[in-house]
Amino acid sequence: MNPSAITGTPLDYGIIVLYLVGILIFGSIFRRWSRTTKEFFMASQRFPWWLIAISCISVVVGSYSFMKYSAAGYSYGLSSTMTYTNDWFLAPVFVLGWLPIIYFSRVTSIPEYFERRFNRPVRVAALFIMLIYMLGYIGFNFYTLGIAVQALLGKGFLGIFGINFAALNMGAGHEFYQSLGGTVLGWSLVAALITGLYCAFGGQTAVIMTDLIQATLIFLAGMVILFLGVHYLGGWEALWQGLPPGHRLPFSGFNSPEKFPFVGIFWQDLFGSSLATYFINQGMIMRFMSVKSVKEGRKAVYFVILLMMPLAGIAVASAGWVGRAMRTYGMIPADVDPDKIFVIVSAIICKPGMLGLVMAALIAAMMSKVNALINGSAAIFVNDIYQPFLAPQRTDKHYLRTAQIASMMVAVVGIMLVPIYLQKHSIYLAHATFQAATTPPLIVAVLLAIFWKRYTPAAALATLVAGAVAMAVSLVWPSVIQPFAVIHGVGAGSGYDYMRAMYGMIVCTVIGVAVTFFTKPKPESEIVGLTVSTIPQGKRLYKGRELNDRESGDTILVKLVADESAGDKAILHADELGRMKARTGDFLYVADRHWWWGGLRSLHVTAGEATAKSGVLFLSPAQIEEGKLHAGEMVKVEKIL
Amino acid sequence: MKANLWQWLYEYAVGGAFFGVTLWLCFRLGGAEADHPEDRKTRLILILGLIGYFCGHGLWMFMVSR
Repeated sequence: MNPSAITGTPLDYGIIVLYLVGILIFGSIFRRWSRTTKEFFMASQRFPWWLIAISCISVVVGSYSFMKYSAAGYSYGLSSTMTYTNDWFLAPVFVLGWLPIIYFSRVTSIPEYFERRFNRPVRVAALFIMLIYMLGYIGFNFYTLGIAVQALLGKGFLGIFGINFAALNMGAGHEFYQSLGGTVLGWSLVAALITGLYCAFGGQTAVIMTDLIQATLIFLAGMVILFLGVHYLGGWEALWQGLPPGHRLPFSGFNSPEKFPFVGIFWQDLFGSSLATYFINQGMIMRFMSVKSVKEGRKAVYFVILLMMPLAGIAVASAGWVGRAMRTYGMIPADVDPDKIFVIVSAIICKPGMLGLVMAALIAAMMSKVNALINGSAAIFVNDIYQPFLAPQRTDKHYLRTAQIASMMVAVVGIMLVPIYLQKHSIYLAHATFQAATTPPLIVAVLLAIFWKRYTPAAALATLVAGAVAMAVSLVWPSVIQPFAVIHGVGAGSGYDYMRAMYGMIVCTVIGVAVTFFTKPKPESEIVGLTVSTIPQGKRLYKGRELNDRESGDTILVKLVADESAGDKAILHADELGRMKARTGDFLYVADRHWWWGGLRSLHVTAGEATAKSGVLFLSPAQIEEGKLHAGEMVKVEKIL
Repeated sequence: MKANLWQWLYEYAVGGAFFGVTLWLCFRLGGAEADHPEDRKTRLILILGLIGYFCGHGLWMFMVSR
């Protein structure tokens, strides 16, 4: 067995090529769902909870997750799932605070939220931080995909397509990464091209619909590895007995081992990574902006955190658990490198065809993570730079075309970062460091902004700028983290890195609170709907009239009839409005009666005055066209607000 | 069970405090309303979910230590 790479069969390569071509075609067919900027960025808020939930998994599983968590699973056992099972603590503030705020205020990006909640300087500061964060992150994902694929297939795979990027490996860099250069860049380029194309064609709809396939593939590959591994070992009992007793527990040691201490993971993952994912990740925000209602968004959160996150934790780490049991039974050497355990286990258990599936899953994990970032970066460019500063007052068609070009350009910028990462590994480290330094200030600024009306624009700016400086200080002089590490018994070195999130959260909160007391807040009338305490007013502003959301009615099935006189309203019989507990002026959601359309054929519309004819819904031909519905067919109608 | 007891308590004490304070704030500040059926249902699901995770981790530790 060669632990550095596996030789795939033609069947494996065929599966990979089939996947790449298939996902490009599938993503591109959603062009007709992206004819306005609202459709391109927010998919017209049409999707049901289950589609958003599946799509969210793509945010938390990247191409490198399989390598990273398999290594953790091999070294520390089932406690590798810690990071996938602690997000529920964040659920209240997300579902009751942040989700209704971003949904009802119709913000399209975090910087835009900061301008509306504070002022333009805060928006610009957030914009600067987020753009560097997101573009660097896209490049990082392309880069790690190349590394992951190369680890599995070696350097020769792209050669079968006659592709040789070795010549592009420039200059002297880190020895290991330099040696990988050609193939890494080749893989990154193929993935970037495909992802950029379907994002430019299909916008947010393409992102969410392709995620459905990609998330399925990620889970399927993870479970295939687990079941094949268990079969190879001789059953579940053999897997369990093959794990050392300490590896069977849900948590690692409180403050040891140094590279995987429970308390360090808890702070770094929950209050660093997870908070950032739910509150400042543009890709995540845009997914929830695409859901058909806040109620459906809440359901998506429950499903993601209660079911899909634990399953994802199993999918990405199972190769490590199987590998550890193999080591117990002497099937693999005891001194095997944990970072290569995913490759080694895959090489042992994968039959022809299975390797192709695993490879496709790795590519899917990267593409689904990057597609949302591409769409999110394009949204930030168009909404936060191009429209307000460079080309105001243009047509929506103009901004749509700009968004499509921006999507391709973002993919190009991301790919241009790969050779830089390859050449100078220190730049990759610098980006990781920048990310660690800027995440806590952004998170604290968002949390204070939504919970505390008194939180001032000057304080928000200080939190972002001085907070980032304080984080940078901790990178230069890690000893400032010492008090937070010492009380948890965590040692210097990696331990300080883990406790940096706690340091950042506390320091940024102190800065934000202190500056607030000496500066002037924005008038309450200007922040309606942007804080937790003003959500009900924000909801009313969103609807434009009094709310009717205390009584839940039935979902009704009626025949769709085209009628020009309906205008922009939905006309129904009074009895049908009654069954939905809806009144004239309420927001309704009209959708194709088949669930598998997943909201692709749907529309939000306001209820008009009741008609005398029952069993039918009158909509104007323009509304029917906008919803991609067909007159004469049965449709489902429900009250939203 | 003993090997993980402190971690289990720490996770649900610190994480639970964040959970509890933010849930309380959402209702206290008026973002969610105690007399709104949907908000009440959301609060119930949130609390049941927390209890579910707490018991799930506890049960896992108990089963391992048997």
